[in-house]
Amino acid sequence: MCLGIPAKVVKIEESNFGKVDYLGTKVKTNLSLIEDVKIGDWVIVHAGFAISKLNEEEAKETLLMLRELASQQATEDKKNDVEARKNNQKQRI
Amino acid sequence: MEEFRDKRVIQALLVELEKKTRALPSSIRIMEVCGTHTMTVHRYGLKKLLENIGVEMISGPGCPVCITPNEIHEAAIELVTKKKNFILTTFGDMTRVPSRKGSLQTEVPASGSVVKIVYSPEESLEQARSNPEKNVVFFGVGFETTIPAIALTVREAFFEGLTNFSILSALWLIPPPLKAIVEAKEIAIDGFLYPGHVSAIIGEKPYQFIAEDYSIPGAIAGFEPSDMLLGISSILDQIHQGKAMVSNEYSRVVRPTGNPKALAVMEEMLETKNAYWRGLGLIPLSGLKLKKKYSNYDAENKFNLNIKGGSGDLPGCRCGEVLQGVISPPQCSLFAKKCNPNSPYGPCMVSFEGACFVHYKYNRGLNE
Amino acid sequence: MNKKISLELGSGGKLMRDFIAQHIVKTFNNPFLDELSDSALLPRQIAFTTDSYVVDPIFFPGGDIGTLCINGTVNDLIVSGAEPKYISLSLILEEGMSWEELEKILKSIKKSAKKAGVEITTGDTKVVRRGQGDKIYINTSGIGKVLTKPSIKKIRPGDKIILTGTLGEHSLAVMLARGDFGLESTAKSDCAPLNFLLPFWKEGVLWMRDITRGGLATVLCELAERTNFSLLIDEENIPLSRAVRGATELLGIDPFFLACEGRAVLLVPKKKANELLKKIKMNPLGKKAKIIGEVEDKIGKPGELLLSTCSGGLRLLEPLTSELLPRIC
Repeated sequence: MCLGIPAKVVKIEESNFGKVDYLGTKVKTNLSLIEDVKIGDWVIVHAGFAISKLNEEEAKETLLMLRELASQQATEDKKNDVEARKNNQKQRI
Repeated sequence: MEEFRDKRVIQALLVELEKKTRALPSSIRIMEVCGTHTMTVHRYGLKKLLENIGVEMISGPGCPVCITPNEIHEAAIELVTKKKNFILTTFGDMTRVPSRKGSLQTEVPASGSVVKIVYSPEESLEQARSNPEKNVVFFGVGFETTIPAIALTVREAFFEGLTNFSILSALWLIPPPLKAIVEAKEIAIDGFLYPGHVSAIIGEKPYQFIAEDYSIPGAIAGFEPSDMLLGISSILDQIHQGKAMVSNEYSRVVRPTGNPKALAVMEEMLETKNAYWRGLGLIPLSGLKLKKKYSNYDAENKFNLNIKGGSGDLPGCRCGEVLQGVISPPQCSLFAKKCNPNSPYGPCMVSFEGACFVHYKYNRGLNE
Repeated sequence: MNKKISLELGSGGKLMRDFIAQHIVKTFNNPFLDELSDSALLPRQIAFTTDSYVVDPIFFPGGDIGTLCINGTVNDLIVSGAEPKYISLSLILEEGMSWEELEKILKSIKKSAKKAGVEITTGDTKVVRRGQGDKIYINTSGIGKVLTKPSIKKIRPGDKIILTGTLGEHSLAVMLARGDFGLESTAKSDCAPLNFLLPFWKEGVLWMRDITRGGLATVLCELAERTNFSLLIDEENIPLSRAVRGATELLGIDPFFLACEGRAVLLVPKKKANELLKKIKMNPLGKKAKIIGEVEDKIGKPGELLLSTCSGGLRLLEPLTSELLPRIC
């Protein structure tokens, strides 16, 4: 019920409407709840209304942090894989 | 977007969480109050993964379809089955809810009347504009995420002078049931995960009383699995530090003061009322209705619907306890037996985000 | 008490299936109907099927009611193990429908029939008063030559499920044509004849079904119910185009329930899966094909369709009780 998707504003029409783009699909959206909306802004879209503007700085920070975590985990996984293979070999010997 | 669902990110976050729970004496109980959070927890297998590290996720009353009582559904059904030339527009999931008079999906509309599923309340307005000879009613159900959109739609209709448009409203506020649950002390809750998009509208302040008056930690969280884990991480930190606050872990979307424009339109169009929540009973000032000035746009008024609250649940239904997190779905003796998605007995089994429905759909293959 | 026919009855969901089982099959009571398959397998190796087309609107990106009425019926024969040969064409026209539109549709029918290798051999035309129809309804019946009989009884744990392409394009195309939600997208209907799958019947395919109303989930749920096993599909392996992903996430719709009109699922023995997949991918209509899952006997209960998500969550998929979008085909 709280479903909201981050989408990019690609068109602003008169009387508070516009179109947002998500993965290439565009949908008509009411923009009147957003202050100073511009083309290129990212907004959260819920039930045909933009309810919040995405703070791109904060989004970037969070993304970077998550990417860090992902690569750390990938390194861990690789380490564990190598260990597991070594153990297998040991067992065979 | 992908990073927020990345398997390795989820794994890494869980490792971090485990370090924090290891140092705690017992398992932690965290309540989320949003159907979309319930879905994420189950869909990504987080429930089991979190249980393994000592965090128990409890589902609270966060599903607006589930908490909308029988009498309101029945009013919607009455409108479209007994009155001619009505267009009842609604979000899809509301059509499946069974009441004592059937559901919007199964009951046959009166001559010239129809039920139309819409994605946005704007579409209802368009229906009203293109069908001036018909009465268009929007079945407006939702929490604060959806309320501003519904209010704006009525405002548009009012300024346009449309006379054939109205809303049958079931508008619910999140903070009051939280207070009711905490006061009831039926279960111990160690932390709250607050709904990200409701918070985008209302900000951080409305939850402060839970931290200040009841010393329960909380975090506003988004809806991707890593968002929720980040929220849980903050709650664990607060527990370690002996603090209780409302931390914002969804700052890319939520501002501390919420969305002033949305709050302003809610203030302009709506006023609070006491409301009956399915399973939770009467909660003071927990609902919203249109102000008197807009009573012509309130279907209850316009069509003299006379909706009497408190009709209660069907006998044997324990949705009330599920909604309060007192029991988990499998603890209800009707779960998966008399009550299942194909023939739901209670509201929690109806909505795609209801605790019982989600539990039923997402825990297969796990030994039950 | 519901004494009138509701729209839900024609949705392709549970209510319709119950209606067919309890009223149609029971009333007419014969071994052909008992099979409940897409085509009846008659004596002398004849397969026989029928379908009615009420799609609204009649023109959409990538096709029209004409393309649909041939491909839908042809595909019903193909997935039942038969080579489509002859089609009957019944038109119910509404007074006032435009000639130009009718001509366009007839052209589409001709083109689609040629592509599918079938001939229109008989038919009927009726016209009803303005307001008593909706421009045009079409019924096509098809006759085909049985090549093999599907062997659902030979399905074993470990057997693989192949999906021939991306999901939901047809539904999205119809939504676009309806102008729903002011949607804009480059998506086109996937409506196509599946003749390229016919040779695979002789290469070990056990069962096939085309994905129409109710989507992938409905088709696989029906299969799961008919076998004594569960089916496990992997969310990460299910091909979705960017357009469908975008539209379904924006609108909060589940792509597993969206109708296609040129996609099929095949049940193939484990040993043959990779080889068959390679061959399917060589055809332009199968280039996005993938092995999406397998038959299970250790996870879930018999008759269940389960979807595994990226982080190990397991979701039960059940057929919808009613269609997401009405008059999709």
